[in-house]
This record gives sequence, structure tokens and C-alpha cells, in this order.
Amino acid sequence: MLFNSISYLFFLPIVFAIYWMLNARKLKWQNLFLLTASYFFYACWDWRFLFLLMFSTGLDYFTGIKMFEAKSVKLKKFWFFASIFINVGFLGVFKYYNFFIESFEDLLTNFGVTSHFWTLKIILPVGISFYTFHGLSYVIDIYYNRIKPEKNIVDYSLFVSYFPLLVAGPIERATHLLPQIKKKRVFNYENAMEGFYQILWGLFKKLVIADSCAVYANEIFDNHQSMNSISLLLGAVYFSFQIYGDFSGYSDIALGTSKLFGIDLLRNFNYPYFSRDIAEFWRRWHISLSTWFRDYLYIPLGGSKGGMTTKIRNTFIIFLVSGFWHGANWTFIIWGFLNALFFLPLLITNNNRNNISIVAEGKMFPTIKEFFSILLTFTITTFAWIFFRSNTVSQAIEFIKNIFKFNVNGGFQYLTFDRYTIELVFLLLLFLFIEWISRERVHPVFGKFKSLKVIAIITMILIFGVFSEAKEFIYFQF
Amino acid sequence: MKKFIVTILSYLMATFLIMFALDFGYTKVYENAKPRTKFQYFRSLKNKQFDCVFLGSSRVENGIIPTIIKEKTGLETLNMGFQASKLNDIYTILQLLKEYNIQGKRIFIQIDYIYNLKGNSKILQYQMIPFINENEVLNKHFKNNSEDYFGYNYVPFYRYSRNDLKLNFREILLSIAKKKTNAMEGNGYAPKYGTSKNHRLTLPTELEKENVVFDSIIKYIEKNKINATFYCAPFCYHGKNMEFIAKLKNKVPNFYDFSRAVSDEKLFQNSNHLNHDGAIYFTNIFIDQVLLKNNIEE
Repeated sequence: MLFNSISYLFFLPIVFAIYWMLNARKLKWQNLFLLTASYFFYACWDWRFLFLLMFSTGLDYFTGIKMFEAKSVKLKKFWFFASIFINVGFLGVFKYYNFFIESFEDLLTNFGVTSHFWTLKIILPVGISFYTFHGLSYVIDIYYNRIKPEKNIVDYSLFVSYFPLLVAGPIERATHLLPQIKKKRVFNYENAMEGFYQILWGLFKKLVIADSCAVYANEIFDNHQSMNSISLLLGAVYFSFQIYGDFSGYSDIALGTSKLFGIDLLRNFNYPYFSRDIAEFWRRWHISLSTWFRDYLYIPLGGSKGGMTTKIRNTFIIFLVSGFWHGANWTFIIWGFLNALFFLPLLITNNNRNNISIVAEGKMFPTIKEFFSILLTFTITTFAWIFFRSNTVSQAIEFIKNIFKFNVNGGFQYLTFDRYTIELVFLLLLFLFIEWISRERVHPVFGKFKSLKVIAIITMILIFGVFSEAKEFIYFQF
Repeated sequence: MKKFIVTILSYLMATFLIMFALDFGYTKVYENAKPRTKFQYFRSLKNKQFDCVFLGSSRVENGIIPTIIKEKTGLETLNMGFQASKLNDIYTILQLLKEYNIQGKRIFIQIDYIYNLKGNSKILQYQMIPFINENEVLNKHFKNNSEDYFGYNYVPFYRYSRNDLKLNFREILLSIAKKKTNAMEGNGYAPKYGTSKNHRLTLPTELEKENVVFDSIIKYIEKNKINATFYCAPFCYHGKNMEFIAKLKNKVPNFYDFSRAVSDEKLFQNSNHLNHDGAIYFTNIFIDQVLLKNNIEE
């Protein structure tokens, strides 16, 4: 079930109504209902993988308790590694097995050895990367005595499977979400309205920005050989906005939905395209994943402690793993590598924590230096997105090569769906303007004139939204 | 909670009002704009008279040149072939001729493998959708052919949202700005240029045993005493199962078979569409073998 589908339009109000009706009874009924609704939500995609989700949940629940009750360090370690091994094993089989086999075959072919190993024809269970990371963080936190295991199976299952975050995050922490699940929720009008506003803004980003950009970006990337440099540049920019609108739009809908149920989720995006350097970008983009890698990979590896070599090694590890987490393709690994490379100068010069505050806070315009810093960050980010979007590394290289041919013949080219490549730029400029003036708030509907803003957004969604084909959220595939 | 429900319902009401307003505005623009699509052009011909009207798919649209017919025979001709049209679409356009009082002394209907095809043309559908409530014929067309009929007919603005890549705000602005397209040029003829290499075509082996839409067309023609002639436009010579056309000939009354009338590959844009040179060549053949011949007989 997609957040932008008609079925969700019915699902959400029904679940909302029943959920708050159960409020008068007991918290456990409310949680049980929310868990049932979450499983139904997941089963709408493919009910068979519900068992995998339940197994993964059961495994972490069980090993969490076993670790806590373990009387020896050895036994604790056993349960810890059993959980890690099985969790990562599932992820490996479903997401990475074919990639490793095919890469190994390619390697052998390069040495003149023809081979054909057994590959799996399997579907990637939606959300597996997200719920596996939920489980992993829970198990790691118990192992390091940061939290105690959750004894209530329903509450724990809800922590893993809570439908707003189940398929594409944000990646929650037990320390943040579980206490909210265990606490009685009281309906709060202001909070619920904030949720509604955030859902609306998320829909705007998805239907108007991401899906419009998708139409252009798909056309340009799919036909990159016949596109001139201007079109290719625009195609890359459109994809930058597509993925931002798509994923941050999804996150807004998830956060907004959760607010309707009285539960706050972790903020996932914070106007990343106004970042002044790549370090700031990664503090503002997919925040829940970045912090997950920081806490569960970077710091255990030694983090910033130790010499420069360790820092550089750890930085490359987390960016490469982050790239690989996105998908079993060399394009994602190169995307991660490029980001590490962009990060490197800041790390070496110890400038990676320079831009912590909001850009041009309290001012209408940025300084010239800030403006060019933002532009440079956006440019290098967009460059890396080309690898993220391309199907193969060679396609990405060809795409970039064609940009640098500086072929401007045909100017703004006319696309097969009767549009000039430039047309969408005006909508994106409007979007950037709205985001710029809202950058000190959680989202643009916050603040004064809410009703007016709501009406304006609804009208914009109706007029400029893409409804002809419901497009899946990009991050569903991860 | 009550306050929340009331607020959400007010926003919902506002959304419906906006949808009504947008639907009304968009429809008015499409109704009154200068034609930018072929269907709008067709609508603009209300109460006009033609000697010949050609109906069918892109094989008509790209293959019959009304100006040549007018030049050679003096017959006022209209090419109402629509891309990807199926029999359902042809039947609708045939009925709309009467609805819009567009008189055609002779109607030529191109028929070939579309005899076996179900469904309707999506291209024509988006052109017709702004006018779904204009008359019974169009409404029925969507009722019979579209899964989205309920939304199209009863939910305001749904029809424009579902076809947003074609009927969007951009199109509204262009209509208001009276930006011209080539929809009104050449009495409906749209040329194709060039020659592609792949000229392979495979026709069905058998005719569909029952064809309700075709039967309806025949009944409609008989009932309204329409002077209708069927024909099959040229195919490239490399076509497979060409005997299908012979079977069609046994089924369709008053049928002219031009499937092998053009032998030069260079006159085809692809296996079943003539290019501009091919259209000139074929229109002349059609004039000689059908229009002039019949005029003499008359």
C-alpha cells in the first residue's frame, strides 16, 4: 500500500478512528490494533514476506532477552552474534547474494574462466533494510547495556513494524520509540493538526516535485545518448530534486501520520540542499540512517579517535557501506565512494563541523560566500546522484562524458511527452523559494496563515501533481 | 477530537470546492478554445457538410490526403482517422458525426486487423475526456471503454488529474494563449516522413468469430442509411498472414482491398504506415479506383 494511493486514503482514517476509540480502554489494545493494522499494511504489498518480518522480529525479541539473561559474557556474545549473523544473513541472501555471485562471475571471466553459479530468482522484500536495521540497533543497544530488553512481544513488534516507518524509515531507535509505545497516548489537537500539515507537505513534495521530476529525469536518463549537454545537466538536476522530493516527501508523510497517532518519529530531512558543505549535507539528508551509521559503525570502529589514517579509513567505510546499503549495484558503491571523497578535504582540514547552524539565520538572503558554497555542494551532490540513478557504471560514465562534450545543439530539447527540457525549472525555482523562506521551520506549513497555506498547497497538488500513474517511492526498493 | 474532525472536514469540503472550480474552469477553456487537438478540430466542424469522410486509425490519418482529393475530384473531404483507434472509437466517431451534424455524403471506413482488436485508443480518449458530459454518445463511449468511468463522470477534476500529462495546466495556458498546433491543417491529414528499416508485419490468422462492435456499426449504418464503404489501406509486402484480409473481405460488405496496392518499400514509414510520398501515391490510387470510378457509375 502506497502512501499516495487511494487505498491509503481509506486505510488511514479507518485506522485513526478505531485507534482513538480504543484509547478509552487500554493501551495494550491500542498497541495490538496498531500492530495488526501495520501487518495488514505490509501484507497489502506481499503477504508472504509478512512471515519473514515476523521471524526477524521474533528473533531479535528472543535474542534480546537471552542476551540480557545470559549469565556469562560468552553466552551473551553467542546470542549477540547469532542475532547479527541471522539478521545480516537474511539481508545478504535477499539483497546481496546475486550481486556477489554475478560480481564473482565477472571477475572469473576477466581471468578467462567461464563459470555459471546458481543465482536466486527472488523478490526483494520491501523494507527489509529498514526493519533489519531497527532490529540490529535494538540488539546492539542491549549488548552494550544501553537499554533493557522489551518483554512485551506486542510492544516490541510494534517498534519494528509500526506502519508509518515500516517500509522506508525513518530508522528508529528503541530508546526513542519504545518509551512512546509504552506510554499512554492522549489525543492532542495541535499535534494531530501538525501531523496533517506535514502529510500534506509530504504529498506536495511527492506528487508535485518528485513525480514531475521523475517524468523528465526518466526520459533524459533513458535516452541520454540522444540528449545534448544542457538536457543531461537538467536531467541530473531533475533527478536530484526527484529523489529529494520522493524520499523527504515520504518521510514527511510518515512523520505526519505518526503524529496523528500521538507518536513522534525521528526527523529525517532538514533542508539538505541548502547545505554549505558535504558534511552539513550529511547532517541534513536521511538523518536517521546517517546517525545510525555514526552510532553503530563509525564510533565502534574508533570514530574520530586515533590518527588521521583511522579517521579517513572509518569515513570511507561508512560511506561505502552506506552506498552498499542502498542497493546491490556498483553504482551505489561508487556513489558512496564519491561522497567519501567529497568529505575528505573537510576531514583532513578539520572543517567538517563548520556549518552547524541554519544558513543565513534570520536573514532573507545568504552572503555571496554562502550562496556559492550552497551551489558547489549541490553541484557535487548532483554529480554523485548520476551514479545513484544510472543502471550501470558505464551508463553513468557515458552520461557524464556526454555532459562534458559541451554539445548545445538543439538548445532546450523537446521531449517525447511534448515538453521542453527547461519547463520544469520554473516549478523547481518556486519550490526552492518556498523551502528557503521556510528553512527555519520543520516544514513550510508551520507558522502563520496555516489555512491559507493549506488551501494553496491543495490547489497546487491538484493542478501540478502527477496522478496519471502512481509512482512507487524510490526508497521502497532499498 | 471533535475540533480536529471538523477542521479536516472543512479542508475536505474546500478541496471538493477547488476541484469543482478547476473542473468547471478547465472544461470551459477546452470547450471554447481554438482547436489544439484533432478531436477539438472535429468538434469545431459542427453543422458542416463534406462529400467524403474517412474514419479509422492512424492508417487513415497518415494515408489519405483530403487536399489531393479536392484538387482532383472537387470533393470536399475530411480525414477523421485517429491514432491507435479501434472499432469502438470508429463507432463513436461515426455516431458523433450525426450528433454534431457533420454531414458526409460518403463515409469510408478503414478496417484491417483492428477488426480483432478490443479496447479503445488512449490518445483519442484524452482528447475526448473534457467533453465526456457533452452528449450521450461520448458518455457511453467512456462507460463502455474506461475503467475510470465512475471517476471521470462523477468526481470533479478527476478526468484532468488522471490525464495530467496531456490535459494539464500547461495545456490550459497554451489554449488561453491561443497557441496553434497543426491539428487544423490538411483537413485531418497528418503526414509521416522517412522510411524505417523494419517492415515486418504479422496479421492475425483468423477473424474473431463474434464482433459486437462491428455488428453495431453495420446496424447503425443500415438504420441511418449511411452511404458507407469499407476498405483496407496498404500494408508493406513483407506482411505475414496476409490471407487475413481475404477473410475480412468475406465478412465486411462493400469492401475494397488495397492491402497490396503499394509495393515500393520506400513509400512506407513502417510496416503498416505510409509516409508522405506513400500517402500521395495511395490517395491517387484511391481516387482512381473508388472515387472517380463510382462518380462515373453514378
